[in-house]
Amino acid sequence: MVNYLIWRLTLLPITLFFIVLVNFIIINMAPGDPTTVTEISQDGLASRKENRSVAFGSNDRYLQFREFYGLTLPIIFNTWPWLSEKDVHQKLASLISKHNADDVGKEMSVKEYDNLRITLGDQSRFIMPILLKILSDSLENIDMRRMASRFFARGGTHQAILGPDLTPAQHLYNKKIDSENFLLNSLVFSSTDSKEEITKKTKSLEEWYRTNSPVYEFNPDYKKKLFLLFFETRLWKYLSRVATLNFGTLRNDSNKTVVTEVTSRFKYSLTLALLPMIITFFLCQIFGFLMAYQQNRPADYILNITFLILYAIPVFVVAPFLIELAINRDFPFTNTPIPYSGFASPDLVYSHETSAQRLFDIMQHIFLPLIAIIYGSLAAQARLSRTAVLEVLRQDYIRTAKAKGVPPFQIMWKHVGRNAGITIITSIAGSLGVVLGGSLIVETLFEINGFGKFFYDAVINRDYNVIMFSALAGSFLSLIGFLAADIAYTLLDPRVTLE
Amino acid sequence: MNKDSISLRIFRSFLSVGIFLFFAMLYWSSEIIEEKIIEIESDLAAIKNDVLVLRHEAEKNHRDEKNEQQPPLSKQQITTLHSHMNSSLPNILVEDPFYTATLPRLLGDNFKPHGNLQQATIGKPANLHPFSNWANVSTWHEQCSVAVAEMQFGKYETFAPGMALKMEMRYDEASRITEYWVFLRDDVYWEPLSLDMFSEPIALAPHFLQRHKVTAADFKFYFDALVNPYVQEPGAVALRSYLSSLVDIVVIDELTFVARWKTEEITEADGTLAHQAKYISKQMTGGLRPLAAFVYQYFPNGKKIINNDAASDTYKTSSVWAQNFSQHWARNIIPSCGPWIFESMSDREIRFKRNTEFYNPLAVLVEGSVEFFKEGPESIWQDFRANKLNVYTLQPEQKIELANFLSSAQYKEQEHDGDAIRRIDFVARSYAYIGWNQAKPFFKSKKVRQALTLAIDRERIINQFLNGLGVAINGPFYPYSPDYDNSIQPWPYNLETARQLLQQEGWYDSNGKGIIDKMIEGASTSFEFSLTYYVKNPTTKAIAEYISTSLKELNIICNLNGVDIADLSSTFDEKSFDAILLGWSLGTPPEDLRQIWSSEGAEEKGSSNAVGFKNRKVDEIIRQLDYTFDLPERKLLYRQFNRIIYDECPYTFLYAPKTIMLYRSYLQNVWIPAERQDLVPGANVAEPVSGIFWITKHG
Repeated sequence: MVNYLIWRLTLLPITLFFIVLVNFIIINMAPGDPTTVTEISQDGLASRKENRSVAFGSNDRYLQFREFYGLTLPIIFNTWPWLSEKDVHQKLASLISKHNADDVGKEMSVKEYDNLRITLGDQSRFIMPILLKILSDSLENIDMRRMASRFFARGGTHQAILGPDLTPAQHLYNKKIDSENFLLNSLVFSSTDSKEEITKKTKSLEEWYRTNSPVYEFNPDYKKKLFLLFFETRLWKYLSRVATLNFGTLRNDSNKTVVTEVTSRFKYSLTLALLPMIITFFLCQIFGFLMAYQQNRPADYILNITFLILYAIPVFVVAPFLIELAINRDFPFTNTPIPYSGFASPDLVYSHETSAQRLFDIMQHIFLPLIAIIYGSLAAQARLSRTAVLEVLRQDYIRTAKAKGVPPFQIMWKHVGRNAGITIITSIAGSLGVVLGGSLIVETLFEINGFGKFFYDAVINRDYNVIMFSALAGSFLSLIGFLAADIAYTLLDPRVTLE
Repeated sequence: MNKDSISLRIFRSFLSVGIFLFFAMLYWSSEIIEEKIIEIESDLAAIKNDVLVLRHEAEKNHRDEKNEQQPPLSKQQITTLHSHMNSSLPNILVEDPFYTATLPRLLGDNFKPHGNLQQATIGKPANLHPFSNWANVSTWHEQCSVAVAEMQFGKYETFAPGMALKMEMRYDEASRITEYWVFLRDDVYWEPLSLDMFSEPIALAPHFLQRHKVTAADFKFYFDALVNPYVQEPGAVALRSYLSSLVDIVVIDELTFVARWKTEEITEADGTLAHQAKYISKQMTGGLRPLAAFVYQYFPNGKKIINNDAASDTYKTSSVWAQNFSQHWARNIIPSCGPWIFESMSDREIRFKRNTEFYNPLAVLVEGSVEFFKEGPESIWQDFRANKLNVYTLQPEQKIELANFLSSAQYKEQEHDGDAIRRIDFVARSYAYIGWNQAKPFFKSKKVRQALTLAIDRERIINQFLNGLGVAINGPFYPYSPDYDNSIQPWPYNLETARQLLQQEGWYDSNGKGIIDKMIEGASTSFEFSLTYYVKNPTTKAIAEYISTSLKELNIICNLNGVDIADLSSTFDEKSFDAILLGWSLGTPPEDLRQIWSSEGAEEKGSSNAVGFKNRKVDEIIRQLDYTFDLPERKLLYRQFNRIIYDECPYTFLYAPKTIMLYRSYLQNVWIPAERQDLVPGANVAEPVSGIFWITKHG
């Protein structure tokens, strides 16, 4: 048993690693970038603002964002330091002519051009010597040199250390890169520069490279390159963060960490997952008994048909219908309006309520969402419960109990109820996952800020950190769940051993 | 079965009842204590508020005592305050009679702001960064801030005093620079930040909890932040291209700064050479805003982000500051100094309150404003029906739903309670068009484009697909813009003329196949093209289908190519379409023609001139407009342009959609300035202005 547990626990991180790997590759390979912006709006017609012109060719639009989230690195292997001068030359030439080297006739599409520009920009810090060689070669085409100087400046630009409370060394570093970034930016060849100016700028760039090359290791040796191949990648950076349980921040707001955001939504989703389960369990037992007891009588037929219909109606039909019913209506026999959105009253009201009032407040708010979640599973489980009860009723021990003269209520409660309950519990427990995932529709329609919506929005916004966390947390929980189930079997059934 | 003695059983039941009662009492008492605590908490909050009010009032009294002699600033006092003012130069800013005379008359003597404006927007902004590209975020920043000059109420391209009392235009002969001297008010303050603004706990240095005067340095800081190449927020990048010829902002003293604009050499009508700044310079200078230096230059602990920022170009060039700025700790709040004060933002709503000390007491006529973040138009409509919102913009397809609701019992009850729904229609600032790609052989000739325009019944599109909610237009201007030429009638629907025009251009059915054709470069080419449109919008889809059918009448085959957003965007950028059905949102006057109509972008991929429109006369007009300051003359130029576009038909202008705004009857002052010339003579703003809404006691 202990051996088995140790074995399983050692497998756990390995399994997790491969899950992360697969997810990471899929997410990063998926088309689109977190910074993809469409200027034609979702609502179709009305689109670009005329008075907000778009900056074309801005070389490093969103660069900061991408640097901040480590998106400027290659995904798994970093082969960029091995780029040859010929490659770089070709890429620069395509950027200037807007034509692919191998496809002379056709102009590059905007997307291809942007991709090439952005990738080369990301690569530039690994190919600084080549760029310097091109830009300082006075025999080279001037456009080529200009382009190379732009990418050289981009490669030499560094990110500051953010935040307050920096050490003096960090302050110094910030100061250094501040002046360097400015210097490099001003040394980019512009189209109006005269020959002398270009020579002067070239000299300054060479000078800068000479003094800083050792500092930033622009020209790594083979060992260093090998190190970069594996460790200067998005995957490695992510894994090394996750290893310290740092799951990163939201893409929209670096002040909010993924973990705190998830925990703050935990209460909503848990309530909407567990409460319906408990209610369903009890209600379906009651209805199951009723139908089984009234088998083949009108009550049975009516309930059966009602449940069949309820089972067939999807939640996205019922929820808007419930909302429609609730607008401008009060709870029966009261003056309290039925709330149809949110998990509780607005913060202004909620914060002034006592705990009992809050409980009551939440109960009012989740009244409709609960109905929307419960009705479907209730319909399915009640019919299942009916079958289970009928089956137990046919058992020998029931007949024996009846013959023994046990009162009917006791038979129902003790003998039938318990045995039929086992079937239902197995079925309901199996639907736990469905409840968590399926609440997206309910959460969206009733504007409850739970998991489903959070993760869905993350996928839409390409919030990599949140997506990875949900994948990681989900797989971790499932793995733990399987393990727990295995252990539970041995406890429940003495015949099962884990040796 | 049960072998316990009866006394034991009785004892046990007593015990359990006792324990239950004990816990019930315990809970009851805790409940009472909790109630008391909440009471005390709210009392404390009220006391805190009172203290704040008292402090404010004390400060105000203190200030009033200081300048008791002359309650409002007199001309003389302004001059002493602003020693650099040149009284011989005229003031560009003209007092707005609407706020000094008309509005007070409309409101009466006993008017007191009351109630909350309640609106909703779709989606929640990622953050409240001052240069966010969310249109709503920039609107919120604007309402919490002040501009150098305000637009006169209801009139575009006018300048009324805003944060500046006077704006002078000077010309520096030596450097050939046009200078705008701006003299600011000295009674505008940044509201102190408060911990309630932040959704997460944060430790703030006392520095942020004090009021700070809005000074010329804040305006320079705004400009520096905008032009800093390392600030890459989309809002800044977009504005930067307009500010490219603003050389610098020089701070003269606390309340004076100079905006220095580059000039170009132009030839006047009489042949003399002159140097002039662009027309837009006036507008852009008037539109300059302060950026809260007391917030965005600091860390929350009160230390500056850049220790030594004495050099005047620190914030223009520093990449370290720019990076800290984009991840700034205060990017989920709005530092306020304008008519509105930002209160808080949660996952569900954003709140503002009226600034009671704002220099124009009539700038806001309600006590507060809440904007709810909603999932979609459906949930906003639900809330409007439940009377939780004051205003709602009705979608064209919802007209029936509205009619149903208006006849329901629920509504009758609301109406009885005085919460009737009123409606106001106005033309939205956008238009829909079909762009004919002039790089394609079919659409090179203007007669063909005219013929296609003539063959599309735009009246029918408006009536059939928009429920009548649109107006036909003749060109790319807003129909109520002063630059729109009303003398030009939109192209009529006339198939016969269309056929003739096509024939003149050599398009006719030569082989009897039922499709018109023409010899192009030696080959017989049938008139068959594809129309690209956004497939997920039902209205767009219906219109595209209708156009395809009606072009069949001319024996033209129009294949439909419905695409999703991503493809639509790339097709537009790549210019890979034959014809495209799209829309433009319009800015406010002065209209910027360069972005869409200049031939500079005709060949360039990714430019807004996706149809490849090239016209030398239009290029000339665009250039002239840059340097023409005289309004009537500008109008003439715009009308010339309008005429050319009408004649050239680079687009077929389909319609400008109409908006139906619904509002509850307790909301007052909902009217369109352009339609109330009696109140605002010369007004040309054709949308209701929410700044003057107020709420009756009932609401």
